[in-house]
Amino acid sequence: MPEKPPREIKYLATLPVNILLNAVLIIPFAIMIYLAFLKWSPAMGMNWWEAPIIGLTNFARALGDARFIAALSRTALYTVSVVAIEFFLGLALAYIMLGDFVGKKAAIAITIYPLMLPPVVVATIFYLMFQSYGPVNNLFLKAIMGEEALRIYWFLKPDTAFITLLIADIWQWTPFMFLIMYSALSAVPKRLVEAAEVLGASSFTIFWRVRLPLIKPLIIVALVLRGLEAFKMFDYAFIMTGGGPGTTTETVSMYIYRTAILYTDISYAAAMSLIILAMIIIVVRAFIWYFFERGR
Amino acid sequence: MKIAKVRVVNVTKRFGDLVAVNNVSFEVYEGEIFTLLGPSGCGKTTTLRIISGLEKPDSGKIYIGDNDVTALPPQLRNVCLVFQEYAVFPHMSVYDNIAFGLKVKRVPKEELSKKVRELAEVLELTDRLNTKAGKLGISEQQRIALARCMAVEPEVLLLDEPLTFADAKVREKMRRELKKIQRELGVTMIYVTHDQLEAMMLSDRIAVMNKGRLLQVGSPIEVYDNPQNLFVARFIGSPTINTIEGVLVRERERLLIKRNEVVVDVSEFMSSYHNVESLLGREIVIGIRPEDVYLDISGPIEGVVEVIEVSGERLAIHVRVSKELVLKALVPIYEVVTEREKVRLSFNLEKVHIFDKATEEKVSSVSKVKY
Amino acid sequence: MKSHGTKILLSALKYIAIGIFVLWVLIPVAWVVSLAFKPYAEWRVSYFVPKNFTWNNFIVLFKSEAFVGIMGATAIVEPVTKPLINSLAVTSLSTIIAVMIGFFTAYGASRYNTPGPFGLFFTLLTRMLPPATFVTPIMVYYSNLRLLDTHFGLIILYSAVTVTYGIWILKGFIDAIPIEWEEAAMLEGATPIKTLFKVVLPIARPGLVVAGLFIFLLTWTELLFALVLTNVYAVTLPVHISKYVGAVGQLYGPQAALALIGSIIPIAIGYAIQKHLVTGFTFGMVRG
Repeated sequence: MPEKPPREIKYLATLPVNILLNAVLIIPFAIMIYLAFLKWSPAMGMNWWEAPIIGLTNFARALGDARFIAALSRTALYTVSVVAIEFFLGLALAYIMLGDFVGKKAAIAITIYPLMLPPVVVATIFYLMFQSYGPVNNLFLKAIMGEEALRIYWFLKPDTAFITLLIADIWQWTPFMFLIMYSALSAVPKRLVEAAEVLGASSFTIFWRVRLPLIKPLIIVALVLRGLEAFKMFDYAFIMTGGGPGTTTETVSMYIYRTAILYTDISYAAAMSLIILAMIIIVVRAFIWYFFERGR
Repeated sequence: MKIAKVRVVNVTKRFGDLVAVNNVSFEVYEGEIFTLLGPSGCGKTTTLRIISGLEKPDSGKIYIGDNDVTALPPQLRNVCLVFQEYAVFPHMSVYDNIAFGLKVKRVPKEELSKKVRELAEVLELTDRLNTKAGKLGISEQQRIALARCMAVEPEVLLLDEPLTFADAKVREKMRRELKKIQRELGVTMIYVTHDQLEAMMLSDRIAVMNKGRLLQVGSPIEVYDNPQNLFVARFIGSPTINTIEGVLVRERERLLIKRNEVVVDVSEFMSSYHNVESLLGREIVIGIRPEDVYLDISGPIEGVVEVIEVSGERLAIHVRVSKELVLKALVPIYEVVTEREKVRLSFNLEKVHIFDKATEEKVSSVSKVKY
Repeated sequence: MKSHGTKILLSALKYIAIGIFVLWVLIPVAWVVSLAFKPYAEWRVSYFVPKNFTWNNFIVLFKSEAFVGIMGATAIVEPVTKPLINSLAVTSLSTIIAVMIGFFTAYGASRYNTPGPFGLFFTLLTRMLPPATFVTPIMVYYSNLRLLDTHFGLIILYSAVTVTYGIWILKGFIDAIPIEWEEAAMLEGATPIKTLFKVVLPIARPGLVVAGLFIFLLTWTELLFALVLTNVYAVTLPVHISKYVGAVGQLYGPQAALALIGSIIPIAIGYAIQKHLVTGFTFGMVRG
C-alpha cells in the first residue's frame, strides 16, 4: 500500500469524524472554557456571550466549596473502593474458574450478564432490593436480626446509602474484571504452565508466579479503565439515593449536573467541569507515561 | 545386573479416533540414554509426555523406580521435561528460571544460590544470570531449560527434540555437551528425536516407533545391523538401505525375485537361508545396505552406472539394474568407475536382510554378528 | 503435596464459591422478575414466587393512568410507548452513523495511519472524560441551536460519543484483513473507494456487526445526556425509568416491569456478542 492515502480515502477517513466531533463536542468544549470565566446563568435574562467576564472567580469558588470538595473526595473514595474490591473478587473468581469443571460454560455465561444491563436498570434493581420491605431486609437480614431488620432504612443514613451504591457497582462490574482477568490468564501459553508443572509447582504457585506476572500490563489497563468509569458514576446515585440523604452520597457528576440543571448556575458548573477535566487528564497522562514510556 | 529405572507397560493413548500410542512397552535402564526415534506423528512425543505425567494413558502403567506412577500428576513424579520450544519463563531472570524448581521445594537460600551458580557455570550462563530469559537467543534458552531441569535433580530427565531449533553447528556441540553432562551426572535420560543420525550418535539404546507402535528396541548397532522390521531398516542408515521387492520363485534351479518385468537372480544371496521352501511364492523384500554392496567382476547382478557422488570418504554409486531398480553401492574412493560403465555387483552375504512384504517383519537374516 | 482428602475439600469449596457467586448474580434479578408479576398487595412480601400472578404491572406501563400510591397519593405517569419508540429510533440511527463513520476512520487509521498518533489518542480521550463535565456547555449549545428535546440533537450527540468505540473495534478487525486483497483489486483497476466498498466492507461485516451491537448496547443504556437534553418529545427509556423513583409513589410493581422491559434488548445483544464484550469495553486493548 502506498504511504500516502489517495485523496478520496483521506477525506472519507478524516472529514466525517472531524465534522462530527468538532460540531458536537469540540465547539461546546471551547464554549465551556469561555463560560467558566463568566458570571452567567440563564436566569439573568441575557445571552451568554453578553455576560460579564469575571476571571478566575468561579474556580476560586469551587476550590473553597465544601460541597464540591466533599463530592470530590467521596467520589474518589467510591472509585478506589469499588475498583479494589472488584479487582480482588474478579481475580479470585478468575482463578477459581480456570480449570475445567462441570457446567463451566453455563457458569461463565451466567456470571457475566450483569455487565450487559443498563446501569439505570441495575440502579432500579437495587433500589427495589434495599427498600425497607425489600428482600435484603425482609428475607436475609430478618433471618439474622428478626423484625428489627424491617426498620433499617438503607437510603436514609449516609453510611448505609453509600454502601448500597458500592454494592450496586460491585454487583454490576465485578464480572468485567473477572472477564478481563480470565481471558488474560487463559491466554498464558500452555507450554509455560506445563514447564512449571514438571518442575513441581502446585496450581497456586503456577498462578502466582507464572500466570499473574505475565498479565500485569493487562491488569493495569483494566484497573485504569474501570477507575475512570467508576469516577464518572451518576446513574446509581441519581436513582437510588438521589445524592441523599441530603447531599451525603452526591458524586461529582451529580453535583455538576445539579448545579447546571437545577440551580442553572451554568458558569460555575463549567468551572467545576474544567477542574475535573484537568485532573483526569493529568492522571491519565501520568498512567500513559508510566505504562507506555517506561519500558514496556 | 541392569536396573530398570523406567518401565512402560502396555500403554495405549487415543485422541479421538487416532491411536497415538498403541500398546507400547519398554524398559529404560538406570543411567542410560534411551532414545525414542521415529517420524513426525509416530507417538514418541506423546509417549514421553505420558511418562512425564502431562498426559494420562487410556490403558497401561508407568513405573519409575519401584513406584507405579500412572495416576500421579507431573509434580509428584521425580522427572523433568525439557520442551522442544524450551518454554523458559520469559518474565523471569535466568537465575530465577533455574532456581524455580528449587524454590518450589523450599530449598534454603544459600544452598539454592550455590546450586544455581554451579549449574550456570557448567552451562556457560554465568554472565547472563540477571538477564530476563525472554530476551535471550535460542541457544541460551536451550541451556536455561536444561539447567532448570537439572537443578531439581530428577530421577529421569526427559527431552523432547531439544535440538530441533538449533542450527547445525550448535547442534553438534550441544549434543556432545549433553552426553558429557549425562555421563558425569549419571542421570537416566529419555530422549525424543526424528533425526536418526542424532539418535545413533547419542544413545545407549534406541526405540524405533512408527504410527503409534514400537517396532524395535536395541543398541544403535543392533538396530542398524539387525533391523527386525522393514520400516526400521529403511529409517535407520544413511544413505537409505537398498530394497529389492518381488515374489520369490524357483525356476530351473535358480531362485529369482520377480516383480512385473524385473527379474533378479538371488540364488547366491539366499544360499545360506535354510528355509527357502517356506518363502516360495511369497512377496518378500530383500534389504542390503549400500556399504554392503560391492563392485565385483564376477558378481551376479549386472547394471549400468548412473550417478557417482562423493560421500564422505567414499563414493556412492547409483547402478541401474533395470527400469525399476536402482541399487546404491558405497565403495572406497579409489575405485575407478565412470558413468555409463557396465558393472557387476555382489552383496556381503552376511548382511542380507529378508523381510516379508505383507507383515514387514524380518524373516531371517544371515548376519553372524553376536550380541 | 495435598492428600486426596484435601483435594476433595478444595474441589467442594470451589463449587461452593462458584455457587455462591451465581446466586449473588441471580437473586437481584430474580427478585425484580418476581416483583414484576406481583399484584399491589404482594409488593412488600418476603417470598419470591407471586401467589397471584399478574400481567397488570406491564399493562399499566403502557397506559396513561393515575395511580394510587401508598398513603393515598396519586401520581400520573406517561405511557412507556413513546420513550420506547424514541429509544429504538435514536439508538438505531446513532449506532448506524457511529459505525459507518467509525468504519471509514478506522480504515484510514489502519491502512494509512491517517490521523497520526495524537489523533487516535484524542478519540480515546472523548471516552475517558465524564459526561457530566460536558453537559453544561452542550446544554447551552443545543439551547442556542434549538436542538434541545429533538431526536436529531440526541442522535448526533450519541454518535459523537460512541464513534470512538467504533473506530477502535473496527480498526482491530480491519488490521486483521490481509492488505493483499486490496492491492490485488487495485491492480485490476479498481479505484480505492471502490475497493473499500466492494472488497473491505464485505469482509469487515462481522466487525461492523460487533461494533454496531456493542454501540447499540451502550447508547440504549445512556441516561445523563438524555436526562439533560430531552424533555417531552425525545424522552428515552432510561429517562423514563429514572422517573419511577422517590416522588412517584413507590410503584414497585410497574417499576420492576419497566426494568425488565429495558433489559431485554441489552441482554440479547450481550449474549450475541459475548465473545467480544471484553474487546469492546477495553477499546480493543484486551482480546476477549
